[in-house]
Amino acid sequence: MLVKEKKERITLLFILSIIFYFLLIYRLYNIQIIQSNKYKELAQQEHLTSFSIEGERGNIYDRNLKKLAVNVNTKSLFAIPHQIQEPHKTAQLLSSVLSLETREVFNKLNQKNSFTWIKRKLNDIEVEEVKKLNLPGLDFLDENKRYYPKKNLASNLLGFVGIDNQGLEGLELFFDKELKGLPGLAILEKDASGGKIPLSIKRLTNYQDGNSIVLTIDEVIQYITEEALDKAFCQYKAKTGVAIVIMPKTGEILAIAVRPSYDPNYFDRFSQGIWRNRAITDIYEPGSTFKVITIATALEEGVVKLDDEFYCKGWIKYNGNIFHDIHQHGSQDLIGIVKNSCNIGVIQVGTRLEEKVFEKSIRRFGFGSLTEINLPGEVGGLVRSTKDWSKISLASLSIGQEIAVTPIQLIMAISAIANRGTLMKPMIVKEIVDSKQNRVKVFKPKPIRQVVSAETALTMTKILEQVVIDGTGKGAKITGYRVAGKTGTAQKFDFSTGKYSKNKYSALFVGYAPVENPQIAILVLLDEPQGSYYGGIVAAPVFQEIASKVLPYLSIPPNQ
Amino acid sequence: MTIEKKSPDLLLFIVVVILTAIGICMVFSSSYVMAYKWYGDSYFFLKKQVLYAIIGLVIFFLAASIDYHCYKKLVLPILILSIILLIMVFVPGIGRSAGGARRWLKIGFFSFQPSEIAKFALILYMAESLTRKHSEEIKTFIKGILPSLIIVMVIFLLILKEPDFSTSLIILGISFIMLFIGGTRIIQLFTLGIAAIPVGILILLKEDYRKVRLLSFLDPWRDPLDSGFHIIQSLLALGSGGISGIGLGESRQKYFYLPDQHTDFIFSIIGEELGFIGTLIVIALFILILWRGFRIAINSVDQFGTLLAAGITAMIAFQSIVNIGVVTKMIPTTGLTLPFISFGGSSLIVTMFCVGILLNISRYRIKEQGVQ
Repeated sequence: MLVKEKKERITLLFILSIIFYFLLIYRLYNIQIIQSNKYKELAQQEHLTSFSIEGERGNIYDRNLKKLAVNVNTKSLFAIPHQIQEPHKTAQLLSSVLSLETREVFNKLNQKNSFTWIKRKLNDIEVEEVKKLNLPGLDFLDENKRYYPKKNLASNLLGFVGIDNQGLEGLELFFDKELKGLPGLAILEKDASGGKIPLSIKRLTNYQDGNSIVLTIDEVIQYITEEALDKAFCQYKAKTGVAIVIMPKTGEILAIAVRPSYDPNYFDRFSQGIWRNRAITDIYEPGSTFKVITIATALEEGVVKLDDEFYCKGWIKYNGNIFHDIHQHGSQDLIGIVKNSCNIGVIQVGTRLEEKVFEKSIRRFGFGSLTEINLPGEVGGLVRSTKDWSKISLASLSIGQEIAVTPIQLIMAISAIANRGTLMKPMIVKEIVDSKQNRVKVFKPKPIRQVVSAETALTMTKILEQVVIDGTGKGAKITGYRVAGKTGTAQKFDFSTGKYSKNKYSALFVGYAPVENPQIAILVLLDEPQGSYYGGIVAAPVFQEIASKVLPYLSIPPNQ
Repeated sequence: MTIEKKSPDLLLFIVVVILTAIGICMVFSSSYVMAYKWYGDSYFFLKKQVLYAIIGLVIFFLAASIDYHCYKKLVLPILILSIILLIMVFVPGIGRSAGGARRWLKIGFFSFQPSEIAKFALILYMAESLTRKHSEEIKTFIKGILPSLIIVMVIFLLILKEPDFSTSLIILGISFIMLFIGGTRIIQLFTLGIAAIPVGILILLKEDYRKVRLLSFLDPWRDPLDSGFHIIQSLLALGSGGISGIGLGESRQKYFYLPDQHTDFIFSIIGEELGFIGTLIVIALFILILWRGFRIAINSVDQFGTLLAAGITAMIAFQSIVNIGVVTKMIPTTGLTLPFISFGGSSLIVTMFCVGILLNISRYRIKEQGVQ
């Protein structure tokens, strides 16, 4: 028989055990229900490795949807530091394969983080080498790398991106927000050894691919322009060169060529100065090309007529200062002084203007202010107000001195003449499309103002046509097309001596064609050419080469 | 007084089968990733556990059909054998050391933990020796407690030397419980308990790793990557489970976050995959065993059966409470398997054997002196 005491003791033990079990249940209730969220979150933090995933960057297309900037898939190497077994050895092996500093790699491997990049966007050989090492705690992640298939073509315009695909220069910088899209978070579940749990890549937040931009640039014209500019740039060993092709009626830029240029795929191998888009970031003296502005203003103000006669004896004294010309042109009409680019004649015309009127006209042509082109780093040039002018400023300005302009300002002003007096805003982007090629935004041509009357503009065109027919711009003549243009040979102002340099020039040519219905306007600028430096000799042939190819390419029929 | 045979406790049988089945499922679910990584075979642990379960079941049925009184005669041989086995652990060549501890014996293909057998041997010895004594004898310290205490201390010290702190603790616990049920004076047990405290503390602090474990129990987040790692990972697993769990096989913690996920910490994976509902069911099953076990003890036809049944039940209850207590951070981390569920042959087979005996005890009852 069982003693009553034993029964009691067993019952006591039973109750005690039940109490313990219920304590455990209460504890589990606390962990699994009350504090569940806290632990879930902690566990997630531990299991998940998150990567900020940028939406795929948009492409950059030319006006015919030819790709100028695209993305290619590359692999990036990362490490899970606490899974690295031999940090010293791993660092040594990796640094030799990836040409990195051993110490730098070692420091990364020694971090407390659960994730660290070792090297981003490896090339194929590096990927193979790393795979061969077969080290624990390392893995690859696919990343997009920006690729510029046309290499140097339009590089100063396109710019480039950094390692995180962030725009650093050019269009890539200016339209970074559009191109980038919205970032998302890619969540990757991992086990404690750092390996990925199969099929567990989660995406918590959706990213959005960036929009693509369609430029007004035409890849073919860009190529023609760069090739022509490059030839002269090399031949004359110029310091810099710029050529712009634009549609004067809409302000659409068809090409912007800049020399020196670089391959944006390897932008870091070039110095910063080479990255610049000098068409908008650099200022030059316009020289004789500016005479177009002087004459047009004078015509508009009615201070001069086509049949006015001027006499050039090789020099002129104005307000006590003597201006020279290299030739004695003798007696000429208005066409004559422009055709011969006669300083003496133009000064006689220009000084008929009131200072304030001339300054206002210069500004109305767009000089001294930004064109607001959609590109980063534009400068406004140097135009002084009349109160800062000296006694001779009016005469100097007439022939394009005491002023500094950007190439884009100059070609826009010339385009205004070609466009019957209406100044347009320069356009570089035609439209923005989303990743499904739907139009998001369309840019329309934007007239800024009527700078001179259509009549004045047409008269000016007539004068400028003569420059190419038998003036200084003969080098720009194209068989079958009527061309208007103006040469420029600007003595460079030497800021160290405060005088105009005797041996440093900029050679320029600006013009448009066909005269009866201008479709393209072109600027060519070569800075500090060696050997010859006349705009008519150095720059005009570049214009000729570009225009003679671009006009047929655009299916513009010749006259005869 | 006549003894009649009746059908064994069916509920107990069913509960044991369910627990073992849950064990097989969870061993597989928790181990396949790790098994694949280390053995190239996801089923590595599953296969073994199924084999152990089959052996266990056979032994279970055998034990259920062998009259438990026959063990009375085997007490001494079993006790001596288990002590010899415990000593053999330290013999190089036979004893296998793993993780700095010598807990295994390898004989032929078979390796097992003598401490598991020692647990049974102790229960058997205590049941028999306490039965033999007069209830008056038991109340004296010299005759009642001391002989048992000596045997317990021998086994305790041998296991502690392996070292296997948690099993030696179980040994003490079971002995204590059995002495209590056996009818010893509570005051004597109490005094003994008090006296054990300073010794316990000494043992605890002697080994640095135990000290570290104790400290990390008090504040696991102090050193989350090292000593606190086990317990934090266990809590994260349980907590992530929520009410209904993240689904069988879906555990994230088993991906090398939670160590010993198929043995000592298998309960955490149950909590993660099956949630509070799952852990509740498992605890309920253990409570059922407790209830049936103690019922069998109370209804047993003799002292020996009572003590044997109570000892076995107490062992299972004690071990399950300690195991779950560890994984829920109610008590400091100590390596102890969860009966029926944790991976491990020795533990499963010995436990099955013990429950078989329990079932056998349930088959006897005193015939009611009724109307006839």
